[in-house]
Amino acid sequence: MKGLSMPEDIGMTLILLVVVIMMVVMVFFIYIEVFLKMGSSQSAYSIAFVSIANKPYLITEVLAHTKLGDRQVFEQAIEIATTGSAQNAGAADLPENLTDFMKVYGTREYYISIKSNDMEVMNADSNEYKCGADNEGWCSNKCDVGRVEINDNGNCWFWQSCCKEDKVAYASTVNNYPVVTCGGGRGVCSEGVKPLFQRRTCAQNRLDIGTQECTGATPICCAPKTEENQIAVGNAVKVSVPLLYKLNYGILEVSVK
Amino acid sequence: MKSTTCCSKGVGTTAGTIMLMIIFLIFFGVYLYMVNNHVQSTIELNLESSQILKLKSTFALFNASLGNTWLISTVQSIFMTGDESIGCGIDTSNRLPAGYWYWRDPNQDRDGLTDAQGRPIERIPATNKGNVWGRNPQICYPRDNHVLDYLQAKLECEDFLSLKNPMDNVGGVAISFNSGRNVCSGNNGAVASFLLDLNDDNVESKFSQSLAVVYGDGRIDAQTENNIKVMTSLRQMVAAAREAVANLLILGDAHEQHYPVTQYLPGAPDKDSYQSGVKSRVDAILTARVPSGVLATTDIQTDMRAADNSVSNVVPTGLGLVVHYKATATYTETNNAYYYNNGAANTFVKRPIKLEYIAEDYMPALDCTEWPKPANPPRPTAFNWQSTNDMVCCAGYLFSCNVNIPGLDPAQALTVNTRLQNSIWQQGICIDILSGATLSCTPNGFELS
Repeated sequence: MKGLSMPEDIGMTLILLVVVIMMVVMVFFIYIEVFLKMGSSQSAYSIAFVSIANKPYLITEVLAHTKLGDRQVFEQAIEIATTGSAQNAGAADLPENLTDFMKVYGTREYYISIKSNDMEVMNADSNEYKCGADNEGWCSNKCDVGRVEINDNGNCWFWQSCCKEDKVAYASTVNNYPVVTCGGGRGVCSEGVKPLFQRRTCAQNRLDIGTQECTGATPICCAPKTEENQIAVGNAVKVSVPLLYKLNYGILEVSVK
Repeated sequence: MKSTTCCSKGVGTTAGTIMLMIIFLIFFGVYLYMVNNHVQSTIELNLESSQILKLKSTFALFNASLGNTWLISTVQSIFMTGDESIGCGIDTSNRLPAGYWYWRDPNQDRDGLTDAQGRPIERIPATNKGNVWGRNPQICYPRDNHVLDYLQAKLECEDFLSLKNPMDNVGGVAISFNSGRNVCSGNNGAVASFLLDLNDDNVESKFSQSLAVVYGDGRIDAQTENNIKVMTSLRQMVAAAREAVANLLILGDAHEQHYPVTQYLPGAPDKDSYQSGVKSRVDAILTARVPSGVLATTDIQTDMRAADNSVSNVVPTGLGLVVHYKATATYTETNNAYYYNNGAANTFVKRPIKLEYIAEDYMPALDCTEWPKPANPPRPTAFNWQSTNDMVCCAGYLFSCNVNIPGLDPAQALTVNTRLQNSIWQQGICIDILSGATLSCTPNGFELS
């Protein structure tokens, strides 16, 4: 009985197998299309969006009513913007006080700046993932195109290098890729890293600008993880508060990731 | 039959399985489509929320920043008001030098207590800040309303209200002040109105401004207020200074009226001890009734001279001694300190609020027309300038023996081993009352012989 029906069963089983394989392939491509290429970043972005957008404002609101040292933060900020110097305003401790303040709220990546007539006169930088004698580099698993390794000053893990953005110095090294700027000059076409079953990303503590202008062996546009670039790619939001006194104009900027 | 049953069954099973898988795939596709749509719509909603959040938060944060602007401005105007002695000598020009609350011109007669018609003279102004031009002494006597007027003038005329307007790009947001108040420079200031209130232990200010904040299609138009309170005893310090001025006037009058306590008496050891007494009285007046939490310090300079042409309206030339003091009183708060904007040094420095004022007077110390006190027959009265009996009042004139009294006519200054001469008219007048005796200047001072 079974022997008689075997040829048809094998045919149907093969058809079923082909269909199953096709469906698995389709599901895999859907997964790739939706989650890896677009969906994962956007859905993650959507979930994190409220936090990213709200946090700087919430922190600045708290700062507006916080006394650090012997004065309100905004009072000190206005006086720093007016004199053009934290020392002249008698507020030399403000950057350190701001760092302590941000620790309380568990904020690891931030940049607070006071500008006088568009010129920065004071800043408080989280220096998260920074390295080097003057925090001029970033700890990374790979320096990649446009960066050179410098002494980490003891700030990086043993498996990381301290990489400083320096296109000129990189170009003078041997066995390098050509330096091709991208992302409106913010980034450099880089090799990046390609984990298994994941899309290619920039090396650690570099930002993927997201443009499609890079090709070949350096297909991804990577930029330094600066405050401006973080804001440009939507990883951080900057809050701006005018600081007025007489005809002096300054601005307090708080960027938080 | 069996094989047909067998084959139809296999096809049916396979077809059913494929159908189920296709249905599953369709549902999976629909699910992914919906999830993706949900993500997209959530992002759009979040972007809209973000715009509203940015508009609302920028508005609120700017208003909070503005509150600190007004705090700093109010503090600076209080500093300036105290440092400039509430404008005494500045906005009362031609009457007093800057910083003076009390100044007597030694070349003019001191005002009497009544005018020519016998009516009391308004020596301390009843309502005005300063007394009438030409009064002697000239007095600045700021009351609470004058302090408030000066504070307001500082705020309006020192650019504290002239803030940058508009601000076109504050992180993409445009901010502007509307309906500003005209300030004394004629410019349109940022603030629509402000109120000041002077209390015993603080100065309160309330600033009101009309703000327009625009971001994208969103716009906020609102009238906001900032209430500021600066802890200071300025009002009490000014009241203490006013009281000091009134008492300095009484002290000057007492000297003028030869009140015994203020006179240079024959028993005074020397000029230094007399000046020390005058200094103590002035110091006691300046430091009395100082409010708690305020430190009063004084710098009092005194000097004495014989009456001459430079002070002839205090005591007639040659007829006595004039004592002069210049006192600077500084009231410094010890409990409160704010940051002072030193414009020249471009710094903000923590310091207390201060009130400083100056008083200067020339007063009769010794009027020889009053000495000797009624006596029969009249005799010269000896005083001590530097040492015993080195100075006498005789027939209304002052004579010195072997000592230099600034301003004294040489004809009234004798040297050791000389005596009064009839040929010198001031000395002759003295000799006339001595009934044949004369005064000799000896190493031990004047001696009657």
